[in-house]
Amino acid sequence: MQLDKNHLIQMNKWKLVCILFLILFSLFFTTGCWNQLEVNDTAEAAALVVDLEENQPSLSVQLVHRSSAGESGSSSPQHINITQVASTFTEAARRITLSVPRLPTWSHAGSIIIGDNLASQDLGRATDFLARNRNIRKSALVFISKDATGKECLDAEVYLESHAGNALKKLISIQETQLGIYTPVTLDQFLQNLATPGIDPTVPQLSIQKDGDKNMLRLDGTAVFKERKKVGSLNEMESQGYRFINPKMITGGLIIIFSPLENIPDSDKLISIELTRSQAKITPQIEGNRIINMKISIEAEGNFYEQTFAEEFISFDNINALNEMVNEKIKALIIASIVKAQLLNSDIFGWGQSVYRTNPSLWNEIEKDWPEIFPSIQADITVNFQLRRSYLLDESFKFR
Amino acid sequence: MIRITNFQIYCLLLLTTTPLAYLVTPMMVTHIVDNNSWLAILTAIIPGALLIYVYIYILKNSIRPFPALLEDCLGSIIGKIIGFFYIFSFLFGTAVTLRYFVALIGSSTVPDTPLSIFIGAMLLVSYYALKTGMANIARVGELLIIFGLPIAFFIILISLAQKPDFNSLLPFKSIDFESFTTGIFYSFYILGDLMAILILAYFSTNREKIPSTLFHVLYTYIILISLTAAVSVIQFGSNYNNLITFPTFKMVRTILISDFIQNIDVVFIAIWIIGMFAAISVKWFLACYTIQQLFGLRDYRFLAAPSSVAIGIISLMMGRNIIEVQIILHNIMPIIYSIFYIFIPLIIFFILLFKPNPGADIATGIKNPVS
Amino acid sequence: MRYMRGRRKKDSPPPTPEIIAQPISDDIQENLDNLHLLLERCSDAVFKEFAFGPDLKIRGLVIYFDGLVDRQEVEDHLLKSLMLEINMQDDNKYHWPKHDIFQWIKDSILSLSEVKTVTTLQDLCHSISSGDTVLLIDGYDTGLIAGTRSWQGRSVQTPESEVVVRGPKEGFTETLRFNTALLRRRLKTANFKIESFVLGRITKTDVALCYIEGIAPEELIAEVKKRLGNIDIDGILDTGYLEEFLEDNHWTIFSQMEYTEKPDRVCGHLLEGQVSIMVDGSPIALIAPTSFPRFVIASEDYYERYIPSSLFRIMRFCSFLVALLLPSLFVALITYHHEMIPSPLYLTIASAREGVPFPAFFEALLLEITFELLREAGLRLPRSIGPAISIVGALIIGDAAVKAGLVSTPMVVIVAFTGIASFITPSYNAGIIIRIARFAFLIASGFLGLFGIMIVLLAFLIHMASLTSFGLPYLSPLAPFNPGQMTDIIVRRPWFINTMRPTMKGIRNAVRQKSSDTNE
Repeated sequence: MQLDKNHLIQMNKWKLVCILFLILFSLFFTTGCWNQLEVNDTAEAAALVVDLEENQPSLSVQLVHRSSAGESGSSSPQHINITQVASTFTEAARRITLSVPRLPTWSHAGSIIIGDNLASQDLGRATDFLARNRNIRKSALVFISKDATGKECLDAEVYLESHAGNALKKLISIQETQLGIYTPVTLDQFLQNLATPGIDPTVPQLSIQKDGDKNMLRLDGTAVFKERKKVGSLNEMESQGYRFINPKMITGGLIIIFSPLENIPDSDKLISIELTRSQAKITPQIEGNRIINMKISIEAEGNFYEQTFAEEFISFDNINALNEMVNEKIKALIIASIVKAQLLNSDIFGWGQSVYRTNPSLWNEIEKDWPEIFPSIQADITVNFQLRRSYLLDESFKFR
Repeated sequence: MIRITNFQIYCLLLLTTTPLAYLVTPMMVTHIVDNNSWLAILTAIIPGALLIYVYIYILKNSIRPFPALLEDCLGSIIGKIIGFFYIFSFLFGTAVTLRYFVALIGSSTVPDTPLSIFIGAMLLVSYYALKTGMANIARVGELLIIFGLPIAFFIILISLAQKPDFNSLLPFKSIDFESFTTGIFYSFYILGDLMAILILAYFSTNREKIPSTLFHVLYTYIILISLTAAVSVIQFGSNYNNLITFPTFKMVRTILISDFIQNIDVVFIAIWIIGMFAAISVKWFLACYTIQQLFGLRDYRFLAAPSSVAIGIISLMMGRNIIEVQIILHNIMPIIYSIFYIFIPLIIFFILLFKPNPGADIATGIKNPVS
Repeated sequence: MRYMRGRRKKDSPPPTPEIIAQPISDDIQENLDNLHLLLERCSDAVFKEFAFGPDLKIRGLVIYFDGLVDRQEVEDHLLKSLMLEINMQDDNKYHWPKHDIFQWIKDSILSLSEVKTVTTLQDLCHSISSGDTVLLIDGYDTGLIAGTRSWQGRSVQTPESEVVVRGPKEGFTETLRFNTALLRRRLKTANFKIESFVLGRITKTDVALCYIEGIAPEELIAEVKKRLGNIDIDGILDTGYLEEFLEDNHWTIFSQMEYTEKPDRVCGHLLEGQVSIMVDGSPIALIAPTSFPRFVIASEDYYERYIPSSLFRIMRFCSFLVALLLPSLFVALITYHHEMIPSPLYLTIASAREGVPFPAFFEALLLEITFELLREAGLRLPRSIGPAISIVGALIIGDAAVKAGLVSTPMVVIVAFTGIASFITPSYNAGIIIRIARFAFLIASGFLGLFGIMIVLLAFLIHMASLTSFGLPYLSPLAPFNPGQMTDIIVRRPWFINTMRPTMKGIRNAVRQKSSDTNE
């Protein structure tokens, strides 16, 4: 045992020496410290813009200007926008370092703006860059500039927020729960929809609005893509309808309906319904080798939020009429969006994909002719809305 | 004599099969059978079970562990020659595992660091583990499974909670028989790593329970890999999935917890380093042990040093770029696996089928020695 | 005395080793001379020559070291008995035995409970050094050892290094006998064994091996005894000496034994089948074998109710990881993996680091070293200046460094938090491991980022898995995995279902409670 133990000690010692030597040896080689990048040498990119300028790739970055420790609250500009035009996007991105002494870290860019120019010419020039680059965050939200270059969007301001890049994310997500018009789209979803047959992507649009002498950014419409480029856009109503057909469950939103008590719609007597959740189910009705129609059924719930008239309204009988009215309204929104999509011949609802999922052999046959088939597909829409809550008043407000 | 418990054997076998499969198999199978990849992987349970029965039968009827049983069945010269080839297959397997994993680290998190540094660091750790002996690798492996397996499932569940589109799994009908069979093969061949049991069983403290241990490994493997494949399809759809170099890894990258924790792919890689370490160490051990048994050496530990050089060089030289590595992984590895871990064991199985059974009192791979 | 010294100078007497090897002579003068030689220049040695017996014909000699004996007892029960009380029996003089006065004195005269005999000068010296008193009687070559040990020692106090809120507050002292008494008081069974050894050629230190027979594995006891027997050293002043001799693996930073100052904690471990080794002169008891996860267990866990203790224990595990990995993770994140930091946090960290001249790695290393310096300084400082140093160190240096832009605030926060977290680990030796290992992780993360951390973590795991403590795998019950025991490591198993002792190889009588039904 004694001998054994000594042997063990001896072995351990040699092992230790060997390992220490090897580690030191490898440390000697690692003095380069690849990939080491101090925070001090970076500049945080809040937003990234890909665009075309005179048919040349152009890339703009919004870099956040850091105040150093101690001097907080200084009035210096909070960010700078830098644009470079080059032969490829990567080159443009790297040309930024010609004028900026820091490395922009795109991994923190929460929003990516695609310029109108690029979107309406050929997305294919930028998709590989967006998908392959490991520094571009795939969970970033995608926007498209409308009637402006992407760079102008970056230069525009957003109320209360210092950087447009960070503001856009909040803008679209708060809008979604409160108003429920535009659907946020992440880069991943966007690329996935581009890469998948039978579905075309949509992207919310940004436009610039004058407020005095300031340029303010606002959400304005949804861009619709067909294959590689933008073919048109949905307005607010159509965007809202598009959001309803989204197969994922949606929460939040607002629906305005006419009072069901009146026979003729009266624009003074309106009711606001807050949507709490809505779930769409799309099933293609197929008979033989022909698509009869798309069956869209929607289950929705909402709350009574406001009425713009003082008559007594909430009662057991009226609730049904109200539900019916909401159903009609949702149906109208959906139809509007379908009509627009069919007009633009862009399958933004992924109907092709749902045909593939239910009947892959049929899809294989009709995939080539899908652009001809899609505009003529009829939709059979059923909406089932249920009112849940009426908040602080359980009757209408009464004047006495 | 090394003594390891059956739970440790379970951990070691799982660690040899799963870490590489977790990254590769869902991707390869999705390439072949699109969104039905998880079905193909689930179906692989049938050939997997058959393979396990083959191993069990070999264990039941052979008295000596793996390289020696080659000589028992095929005659000493042929046995030795084939055993010699096995050494290369194990070393090559180690090198491929190492290289692929290092390629993943390089191309997704720290691209500027040379591969040789990663390979060197991984080999250093595995070398140390091998030097301390098999029983120690077993203990470490146990520790890794206890913490690693829940984490692997946890990662899948979190990514499932992101933006799931369960309809992506549809349709079932488009299954093309030929591609489905190929898919099953691709999800099945990695189970050839279970051949390690032909060696490990003889170290077990409870050999009678080896069959159930093997089946537990099979179930865990199938569940984990099919779940991964399903979730990556649910996340990205099969078309987008096929574009991505490392879908499993991408799946982790999209995880976003309460809009704050994001891009945690590095954590995932960090954890997977551990799994890869175990996979490398076990395969490496198999190579060293086979050498020891073939040449009748006293110990296997001193073989770690020379073989580490071999592994390092093979893994550095095997391909100049990721495309070549992918080709090796997708085309050459399946061939090596099916020859060495599936086909030759099958031959041995048939030879043993016509041989007389060992007596009831002789200890075999799944019969404890009478003490 | 002067005469003695003179003589020694003249004809140099035999050197000490020769004298000490001699047996006790039956001539008391020779003994006296030899002892004077041996104990020359030992100013605390007391020689008392006296005569007693009929007509004061018998010469006696009492030897002891002043300060180690209870003088009162020597005078009352030894000298008084021999010089006075023996004469009160004068009226029946025929009781004086004719031949064996020695045996008679030993059996009947001395009113002391512990009386032994001694035959060599070596043993005699050892006894008087241990605080006994030796009585030599002319004409006999055997001495009597009277157990009169008594010296000034620290009284039983609350241990400073292990403070508990709920539970016994007694701590060991420097006297082995008191310490064993503290244990015996808690384990009132004959099965509680305290085996004694004498180690150290010069110090002749008493070492006690404590265990409960019928619970502790026999192989373990035999192994400990064997290793104790192999020790050959001149002196043992603390259990720390023994720890290095007894541990299985020497080339490691991991201590493979636990130590404590609390008798209740020792008893708890003894009841789980471990053994404890104590050394005279040290209030620290060693406990063996142990495994790494047990370092996170505080004895208080077992006194507090199981739900809070379990939560605290989980928290301790987390803080253990934090103390080990937080600075290196932070460095890895801000030098290699920027994309992983949540964006708002990134901006904050980046703003705070603006203008800091050091790379993050050096900044962290610098702060960690400063922290260790402050900690070590605080440990050694007299109690009155201690707080002053912590104020200067923590507040002034920290604040000034941040204000001067030398270090960034997040790094100060991280290092300070790490420091706090490392204090949560209940055992001090595990804390030392963390402190050393933290630097290894820091350096690895500085070179290779998270990958480096994982490589070092793996190396540590492999190393730890290869360690054993008296044959117990160092990572048990994690590896080898033992699900039954895990419930008493990760959380604290409630007493009412804690029916079994932790399984250890060779443990006997693993049942702690008859069955859980008895608790209804």
